[in-house]
Amino acid sequence: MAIDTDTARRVAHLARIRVEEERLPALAREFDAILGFIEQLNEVDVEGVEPMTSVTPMRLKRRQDVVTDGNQQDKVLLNAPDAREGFFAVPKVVE
Amino acid sequence: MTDLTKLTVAEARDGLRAKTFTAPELAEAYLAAIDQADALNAYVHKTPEIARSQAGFAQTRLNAGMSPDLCGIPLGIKDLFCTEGVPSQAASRILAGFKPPYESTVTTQLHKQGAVMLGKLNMDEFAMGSSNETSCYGNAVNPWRRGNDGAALTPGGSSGGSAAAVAADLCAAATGTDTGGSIRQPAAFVGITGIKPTYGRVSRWGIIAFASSLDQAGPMTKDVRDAAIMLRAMSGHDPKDSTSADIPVPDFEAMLTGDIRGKVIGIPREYRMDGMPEEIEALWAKGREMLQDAGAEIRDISLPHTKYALPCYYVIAPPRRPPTSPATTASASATVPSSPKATASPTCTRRPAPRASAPRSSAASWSGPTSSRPASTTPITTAPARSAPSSSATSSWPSRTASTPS
Repeated sequence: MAIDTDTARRVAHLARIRVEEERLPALAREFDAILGFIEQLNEVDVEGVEPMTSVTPMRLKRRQDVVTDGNQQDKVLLNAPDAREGFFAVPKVVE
Repeated sequence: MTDLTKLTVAEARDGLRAKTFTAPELAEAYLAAIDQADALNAYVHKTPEIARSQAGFAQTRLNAGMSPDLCGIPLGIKDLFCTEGVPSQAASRILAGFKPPYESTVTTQLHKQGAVMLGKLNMDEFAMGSSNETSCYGNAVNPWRRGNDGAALTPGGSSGGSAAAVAADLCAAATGTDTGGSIRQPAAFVGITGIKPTYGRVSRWGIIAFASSLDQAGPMTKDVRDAAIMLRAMSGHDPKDSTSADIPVPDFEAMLTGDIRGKVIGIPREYRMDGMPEEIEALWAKGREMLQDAGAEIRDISLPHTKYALPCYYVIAPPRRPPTSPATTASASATVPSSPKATASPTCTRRPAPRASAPRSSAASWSGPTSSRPASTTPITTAPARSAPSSSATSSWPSRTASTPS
């Protein structure tokens, strides 16, 4: 499978990343390399191999579905460039 | 009195407990050393007030006879760790001005033990890099020099500031993080000990993520004993990180018996690569010999999936430099065009980048496992800093070198 310049342009557009026209071929080659890696992993026979949570035998922890934290509005907004009435404020992006 | 900054964590711990010196004295020694070593650009946010207050508190605990291992021990913290009220920006302009209102689990555990935070350490931006040359603070510089050549060398990365700080005695030990070599490679470049713990051993909570399935924090220290002490303090299950392992944390230091008789050590043949330089081959042979001499049984083994490690890495971690394309990713430079406005940020520009060193020069800076801890007394503030020790230091290898080769 080869990624052409058009596909790279389309992916960049979908990701809302500006890529100059002359850089598209290089980007396409990088996409290709990543797909090549995935292709290579397809060779590995994983039939009958249990999925692992971690490298040591363990199950993913579960916890009670209860509130353990909260009432920290000030702290949450502490690093907001702009905050109003307890909310994050951002520039208008929808007309 | 001996130079306090030259002590290992274990030596400093014992000195503090024996009241040979105090925690504030130890902290002041490091703070003075840090201020004279700006040329290394290891510290990017110094926290002397925090250090002094923590050292004072640690001393009251020491006086009361309550002293965990790290009580009063001055540490450097990689900028990737969120530290309450202290800039934590992963060496990126994107996070300029960010002061977390919370503390990472690792640093919380260290502080509970009484550790003293000297400041935040340089790194590659968002931990993506292997030479500490992608930092918004400018390059971190290796305290070592290549013979009489004054050229600045890279300390490796992404934990380059941590590596430089430990090697130059600017902290007793440092925290690092490792996704694809970011502790082990810089530790090797500066001749210190670094460990990437098993995934899950250390909580990732409060550490800015790179690739969540691979990231682990670990110690960067002057020797193996210190790494054991630090690792024990950093490890443990954390309800805030569901991938952290709920397994008891052993006393790693107590396990350092020095006795490996009868242990079986496998050497995977896949780890030996074609075209390996002769000096590396020689070091491999030597390492094998040393283990054998110490009574271990060496077995040649095969790990046939080794060749899939790199493809896995490039799928799980955002590709930094796919082997087929030496250029850095086009997307990264496209998303973050450097605007003059952004570069005006004072938190990023106040430290002019030292002269960039050629990335390839790094290999030469590491004189192999013969590098014991830099021992020269030459001040590191001036250009011809430390020269690599001669090969006569070879005998110190077992106690002073990285415990995680390749």
